[in-house]
Amino acid sequence: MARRKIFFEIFIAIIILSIIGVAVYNYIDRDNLERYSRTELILDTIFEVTIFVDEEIEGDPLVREAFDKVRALEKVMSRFVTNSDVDKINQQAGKEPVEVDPRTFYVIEKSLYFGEASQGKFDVTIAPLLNLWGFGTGEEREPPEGEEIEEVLPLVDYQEIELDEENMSVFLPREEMALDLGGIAKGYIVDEIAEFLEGEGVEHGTVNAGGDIRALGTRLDGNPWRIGITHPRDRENIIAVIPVTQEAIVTSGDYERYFNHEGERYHHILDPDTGQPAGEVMSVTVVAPDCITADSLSTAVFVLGVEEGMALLESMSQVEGMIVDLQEEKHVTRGLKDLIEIR
Amino acid sequence: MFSRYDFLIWISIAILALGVMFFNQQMSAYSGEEVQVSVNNEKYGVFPLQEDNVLEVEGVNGITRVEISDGRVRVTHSACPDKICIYTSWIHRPNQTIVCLPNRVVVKITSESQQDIDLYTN
Repeated sequence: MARRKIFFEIFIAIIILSIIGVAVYNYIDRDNLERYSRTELILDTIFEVTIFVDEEIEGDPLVREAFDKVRALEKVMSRFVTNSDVDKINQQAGKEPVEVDPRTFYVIEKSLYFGEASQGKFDVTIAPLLNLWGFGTGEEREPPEGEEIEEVLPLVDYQEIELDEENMSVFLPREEMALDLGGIAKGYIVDEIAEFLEGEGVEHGTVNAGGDIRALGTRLDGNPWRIGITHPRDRENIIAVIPVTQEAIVTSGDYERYFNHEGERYHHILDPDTGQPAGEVMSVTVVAPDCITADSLSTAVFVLGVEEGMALLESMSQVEGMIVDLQEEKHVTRGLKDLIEIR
Repeated sequence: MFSRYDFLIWISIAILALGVMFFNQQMSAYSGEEVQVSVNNEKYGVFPLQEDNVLEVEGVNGITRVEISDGRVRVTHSACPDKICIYTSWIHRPNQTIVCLPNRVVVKITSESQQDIDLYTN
């Protein structure tokens, strides 16, 4: 009887001590890491960097430096910035190769890889088609005529891009051809910023370029970051939650940029083969180790549609995703099924 | 091992600790949700989410009208060509945003406490 009582008391003592321990730990943990966050409209989107660091790292200057890097990269890769690498390549199309920053070269090289992987559905030479539709210029109102599209389509072919690794140069062989890295550069820049922050010792944080997200480590509480996937037809609510740790996640949706004309909705993700907005799905979410992969694949899979898109996602290692089709049915890759919370 | 009084002291310490934990959690759970508005990367103002309000925000091209109602926020009018901010419609969860790129207006719901969802991907 006495022994039983002692066991009981030890048991109670352990419980009491652990409660006190947890309370103290919670209190200390809360004060340990400071949150720094900054948001700017840049890269034609809303760019947000949030980091959690201890007092050894100065958060504010670090976040500001991150944004300086974003601005510098935008100057190199946006086709709307005069004298950027992409602007120069487009200006010199059909004339001569242009020597570019190694980072631009890398992104274009990667874009060719994703072009191959998606049977040409991801195509960075899509700029003439985007211009025709008016996406990216803010002037879109009426869909172009079929004839106009037919005229422009032959200009869209990533296989014609000539890369010269020795001279770090890029050449578009025909004058009217033009590059647009919109479907991939954002992902690359998010990666660059995430890796810069990691190099500076940041272990917890997020880099978010308008929904192109790369997570550093975990949440402060050690759990994965929880990413809400916006419902494609009810944007106030979410269609699913995907937990991510040290990964990138990107969603492409037909509701992001579009215009209505005579009751029809025309969105900005164009099929390079038909010149029309891709019509089989509403949104595609891709989870990958880096954001350049997630960014380009989300566009590629969107254009490929459900069947071929799922096949592409399943074929790539460390890549998972979800496709929401026009009936709002959700198609989830095998590796994600146990993790995703469908709402 | 324990006398009855020791036991009481330990129990009260535990209850105190639980109380502190509970208090901390409540504090963070009820820290007010706010609507943060910025124009051209500059802070424009912060408004309580639970107080109905109509804001006439002066953007770079003109007025963006922001309506706060019943704990939700939307943009009802905007001096921009594409109206994407209006089509976004209502938001009500912390970390959700409405962005008007042409008028450089950002509306974001913020909260101090840890949310169920950290970030949204459109």
